[in-house]
Amino acid sequence: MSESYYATLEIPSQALHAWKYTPWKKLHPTGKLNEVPDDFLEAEVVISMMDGSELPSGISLIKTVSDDNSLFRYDDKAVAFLLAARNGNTWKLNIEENTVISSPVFVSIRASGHLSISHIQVQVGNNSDVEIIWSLSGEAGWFGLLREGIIGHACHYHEGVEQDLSPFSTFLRTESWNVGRDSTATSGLLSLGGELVRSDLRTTLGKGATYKQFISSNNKGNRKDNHHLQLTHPVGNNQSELVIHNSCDGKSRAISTGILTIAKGADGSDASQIFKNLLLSKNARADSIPELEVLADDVSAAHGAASAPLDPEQMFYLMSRGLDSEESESLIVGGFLIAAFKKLPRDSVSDWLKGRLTIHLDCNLLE
Amino acid sequence: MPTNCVLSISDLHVSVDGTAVIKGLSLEIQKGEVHAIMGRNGAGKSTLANVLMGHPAYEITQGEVHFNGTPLAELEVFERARAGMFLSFQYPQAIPGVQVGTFLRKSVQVVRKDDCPTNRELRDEIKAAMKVLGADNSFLARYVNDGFSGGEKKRLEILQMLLLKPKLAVLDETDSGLDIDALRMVADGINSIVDDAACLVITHYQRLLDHVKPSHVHVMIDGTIVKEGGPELAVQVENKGYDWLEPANA
Repeated sequence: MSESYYATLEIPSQALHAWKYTPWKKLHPTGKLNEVPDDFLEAEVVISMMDGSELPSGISLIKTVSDDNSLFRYDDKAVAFLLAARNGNTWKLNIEENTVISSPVFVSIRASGHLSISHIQVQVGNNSDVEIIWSLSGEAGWFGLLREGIIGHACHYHEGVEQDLSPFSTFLRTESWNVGRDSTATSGLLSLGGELVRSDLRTTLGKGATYKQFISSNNKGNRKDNHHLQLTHPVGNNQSELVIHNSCDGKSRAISTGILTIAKGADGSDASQIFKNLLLSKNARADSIPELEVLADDVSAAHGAASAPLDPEQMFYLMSRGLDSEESESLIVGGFLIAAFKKLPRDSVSDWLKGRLTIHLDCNLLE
Repeated sequence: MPTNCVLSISDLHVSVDGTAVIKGLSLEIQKGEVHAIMGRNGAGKSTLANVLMGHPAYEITQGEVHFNGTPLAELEVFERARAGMFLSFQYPQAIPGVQVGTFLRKSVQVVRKDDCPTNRELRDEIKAAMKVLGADNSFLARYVNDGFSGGEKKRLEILQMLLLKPKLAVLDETDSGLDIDALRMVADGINSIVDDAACLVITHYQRLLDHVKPSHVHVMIDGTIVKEGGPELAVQVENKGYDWLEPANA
């Protein structure tokens, strides 16, 4: 997709739900809104097995070059920008049919330089069962990640994503996923890095599919973390669940917008969205706006949002066990963030995310 | 003050939101003693427990409290815990996302700083304490009080007490919500610390006191102690209720 195509798209209006809180002009790396800089560095992508073993047959990561190889059709300004900026480069992570592995795959994406980019496509073949840990790191001033995934039929796909970019980075992440018939997919995201982060994550469920997304975002200083999540049930008898826990300290801000769409005729859909925010300072702010568009009759669709400061009774309880104020707060915040991962079905994924969060919070205590 | 005096309360007055709840209470507890405070709902029993631990909602308006010779007012909540005070809560808080095992380890590390067990020693101690309380290993992986039954919450309180080895244990309605077997296990836990600690047991009923023998029993009505005695007083209260102890009837 070319820069000229990008230039033909209108700058998204802030009247749109997805663009209300972080406009494109704040995200664009140079501010020249119809230009795509030509000095992007490709992020380094490395694949390995968590247990140190060799990558099994049936799993491959290859780099391809093509001008037009996105899995989905887009008319989104940000996606068109990323497709133009990547210079045709695409990483393809392919998991063949019937691939079943017992140890998680580890994919490291490291973004360096002033401007960095990565386009990754994930294709999971039918009847596969895999766990993938994604680590996003690096010192890039601006990093754009476009990830696309097609999960075949009757698969189990479980991923954990740690985003721990430099605290000064701007991070634009856009994703589109299809979860195939009778497949189960879960995603746990730990969002820690970046000063300005916008993630636009869109998932479409097939018949009988289950998709669950659990997000923990730890915000401090001037960090702004904006998640826009779209879950679409075009057909019925499937299940989606979205849980987001944001903790906000300092002058940070967390924004969570969600659109849950259940199409006409998609009966038997079961969907829920829960947004929880923990506000740790008077200048911190959190906005959670779940939206439902339900066009089918026989469905279960629920959503809820809550923001609260630290519970003084929880603080008292922990302090009565000898923990000082700072230690108590850290434990409550850590617990709040970890609790978002409570329903992750695979221990290898949830344990890894919890471990990474614990290290992150322990480092914060030492600062 | 005698050297064995762990807790000394003198003419304590406490207010909550400007309302007087404790109105002149005095009490001394020595090491090795078990004091029971009985009283109706609203008598001020739980207020006393919370004040001792330092809950910020309660204001001491008059009187003094010393814990092991130190004025309590000088100690923050966490410093009281580190100095050896333990409160078993009537309604323990849930801390979602924090595993019991992690919580116990952190708590033991700060409270028993001078006598901190190694990880292996702590594991053995936890195992032994859980056996006393009839709790299984899965307890440790669960989140603190999150989704716990009333009985499980009380067991976790006592498990913490056993591991923290307090000098003063204040047990606020620890018997409520327990079936008879759980009550016996919790009582065994309390009995195992009484030789080395002072205990203040707050309760409505005598049933816990069938298993934990108090050396002193105090009856509290309207924010003050109206009657003191030995274990026989608890039996009298159980049989006769509290009306006969009302100041107007006494």
